[in-house]
Amino acid sequence: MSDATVSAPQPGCTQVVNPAEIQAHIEKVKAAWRAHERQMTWEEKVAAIERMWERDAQLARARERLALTLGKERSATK
Amino acid sequence: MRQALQILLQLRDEGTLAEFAIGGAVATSFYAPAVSTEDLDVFAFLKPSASGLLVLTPLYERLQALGGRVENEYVVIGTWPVHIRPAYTPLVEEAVTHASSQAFEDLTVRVVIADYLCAIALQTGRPKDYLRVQTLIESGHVQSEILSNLVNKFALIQRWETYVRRYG
Repeated sequence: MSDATVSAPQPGCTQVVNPAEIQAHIEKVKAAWRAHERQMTWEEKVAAIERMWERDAQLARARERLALTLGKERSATK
Repeated sequence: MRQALQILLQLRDEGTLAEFAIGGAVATSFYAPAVSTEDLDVFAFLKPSASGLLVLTPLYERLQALGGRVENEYVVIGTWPVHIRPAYTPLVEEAVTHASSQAFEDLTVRVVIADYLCAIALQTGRPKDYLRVQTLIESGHVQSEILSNLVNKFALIQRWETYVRRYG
């Protein structure tokens, strides 16, 4: 959970959302996802695990690129 | 995954493996939401050698002959790294014996039942294992009577109490 504090509405902002509405929406989406997952077959879940590998590989590549970029920037500033 | 399961079934039918059951995250994903994992955990009864010792060499040689690639403790079959673990404790032996047959596509494989997955996770006792216990219990597939019997039988009471402190 984020610990960000919510400030007062910005000037010119006339609409205010009810936090309870957001909470209800989130609960509705989560319940729908849980129901969807319960209906997934084992084969579908295994396919989902295999898709996680590609996502993890993409994240690893992105981290490597970022580390290289930061390394170059640090070298340039020395 | 189908390719890995098919080869494991072939090994069992040939007698290289006496019996096996799927465990770990892939088995957990049968009962609960998909759990991220890098490998397929297989608990197996190996065929004893002539000397009576349980050796992995014939199994690995046969897996390589069938196209498997040995990488560290895994044999990669198709896209799946497979971790074959000889049934190494009385609890795991019992888990393989009590595994249930389940369909994966057109294959039938044995999967460790949720109660035993919980007990094995408690016995292993890493943080992710305690999380697995909670996931399995939330799935509604764990029967309290069976799990409490396993906790008592395999002296897992302290691990259970640790789990309850963290997640109860």
